[in-house]
Amino acid sequence: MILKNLKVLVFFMLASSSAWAGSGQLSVGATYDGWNSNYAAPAQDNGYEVFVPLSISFQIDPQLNIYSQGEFMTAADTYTSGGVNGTYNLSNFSDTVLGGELNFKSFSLNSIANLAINIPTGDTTWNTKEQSSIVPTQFIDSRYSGRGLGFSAFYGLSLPEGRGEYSAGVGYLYSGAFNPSYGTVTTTTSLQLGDAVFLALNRVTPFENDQNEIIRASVYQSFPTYSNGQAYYQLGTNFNASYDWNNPKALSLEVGGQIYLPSAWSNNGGPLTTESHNSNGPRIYADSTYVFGDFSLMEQIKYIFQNDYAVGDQYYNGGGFLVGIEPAYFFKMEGDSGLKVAADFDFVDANNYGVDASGDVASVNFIMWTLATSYEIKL
Amino acid sequence: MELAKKALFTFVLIGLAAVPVFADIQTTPNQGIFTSVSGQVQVKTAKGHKTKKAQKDMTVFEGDRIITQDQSSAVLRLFDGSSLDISANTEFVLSKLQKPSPQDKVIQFKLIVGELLAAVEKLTTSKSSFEIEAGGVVCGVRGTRFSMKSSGGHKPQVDLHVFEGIVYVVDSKGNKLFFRPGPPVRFSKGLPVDVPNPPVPPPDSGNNNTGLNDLNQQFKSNVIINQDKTLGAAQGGTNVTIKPYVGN
Repeated sequence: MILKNLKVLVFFMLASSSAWAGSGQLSVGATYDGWNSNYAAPAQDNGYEVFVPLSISFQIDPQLNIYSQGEFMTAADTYTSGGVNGTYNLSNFSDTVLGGELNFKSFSLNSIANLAINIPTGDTTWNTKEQSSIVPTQFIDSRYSGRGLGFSAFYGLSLPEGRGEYSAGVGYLYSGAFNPSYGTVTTTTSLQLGDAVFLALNRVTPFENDQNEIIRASVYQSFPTYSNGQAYYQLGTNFNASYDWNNPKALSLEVGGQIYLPSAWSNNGGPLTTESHNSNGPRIYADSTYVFGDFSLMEQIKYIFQNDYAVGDQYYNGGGFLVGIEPAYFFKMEGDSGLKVAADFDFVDANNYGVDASGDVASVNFIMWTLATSYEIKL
Repeated sequence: MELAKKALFTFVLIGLAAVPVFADIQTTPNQGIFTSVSGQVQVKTAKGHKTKKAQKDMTVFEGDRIITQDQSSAVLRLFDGSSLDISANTEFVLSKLQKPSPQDKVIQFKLIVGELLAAVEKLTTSKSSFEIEAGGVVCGVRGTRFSMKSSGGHKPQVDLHVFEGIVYVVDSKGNKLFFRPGPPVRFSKGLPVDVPNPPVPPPDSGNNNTGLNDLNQQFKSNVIINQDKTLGAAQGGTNVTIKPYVGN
């Protein structure tokens, strides 16, 4: 199975680089991350992952860039379910993304089109399994993708205005069905995460020394998620806004926020009904990066407000916060190649995420640390 | 079979006959050739340090210095098809005339005094460049027409006039500015001092497409965040106490 996936992965990566006449970039890395929680024994929620991300891109001509990316991951996630501890193990490739970005003119304006296909080289059961044993993904995104065949398309154009430019774009995600081990992790169910439409606008203003200011606003509209062909859930409309000051040689800052409208659920196979309270609380975040030559230091803070349900309700989510820090060093090598080494430490406080010995809800803390290297080679 | 041989021979013959014609149009790599010379134009060669009088069809090389006198001018065609109109009372050096690979070209001039008008063939790779440096200011393009004028001396005034396309300027502080066609922009001591034609955002060529690339990245990021949320909801319908853990 692994060999088969390896062949598929290599095939698509080589296919993506068939026209090696232009300039290109190969990036290969190795990352270790581990996490732990303050759950009292015998309950556990910890694990580690080691993965090797690989991406390749080629500039076929100044307008067209093709790319491919994927990774191989080995992981062991320990969980507790029904009072029994267990460990899920993974040693597999992730899905492979193959895409192309085209820069062109439309309506006499600079435009971009990006088409990508998600090739199902990954383990479709893993994203569901790991849910019970990783740091909640509302704080830290999953590092693995095994979602089955899918497509995405994005089109955007930019309008110069004064010193800067406005850009607007629309994207569509076709999310193919996959067969995760769902719920109890013993039943195989066809699950199709909702398709989505994305609308976004930003304003970029350049300043001297390659600095720029970016103001963003976007909307992400999800469509129904299907379980065994039955509409089951629809994530509420997601609105995003952020402000970004980017200075590649000194201090960069970004602050932003997200809000969700109420989601919709199906009760016992019935039609989707908008929930009485909003199950997704707003979130705000801020991060900064300071660059000292080849050394950089990134800090991140994220705060998620509790949702509108009362404590004890099955849909209650207490939110919480994340603080993280990541020092990194970039070793310049021959030509334009370079080696980046980074270490990341994150602390998560998930508010009322667990229960204490008295049966009352209690906060759960997670600690996650990451060591990562990536090597970039100009082709 | 005989017909095929004849056809091949004819093809080769035509090909060989075309070579001198082609060579007349296209200079060989690392060279420039004068297509027009008027008045007193001198070439100080890098090799041998000789001073020659420029003539039509004369070849110049990297490192050569070209000087035009009063009421004199010349047109230089470069190996890539770009051309340089050299005004009277101009002195400049062919700093780089390089073709490091079949696709790439690196062309650079150092303008001491006078005026150069450049008509540049489109650069097709990111490693290619066409630049003129004068008085601490570097102007570069990726396929356009512009002129650069220097008053000469230790701290010259430099005028940039863009006629077509976009020209980038790296000033003495390292700032990179982009100019579209418009009135001339003046630089003194390597910095812009008179800017009737304000700089514009970086042009959109793949890596400089900041706004559009940012939107594209946002889309990818939002897909990950929201798919994770959807998967979490579809699995348990809640993010809290889905396991009967005992926390502390």
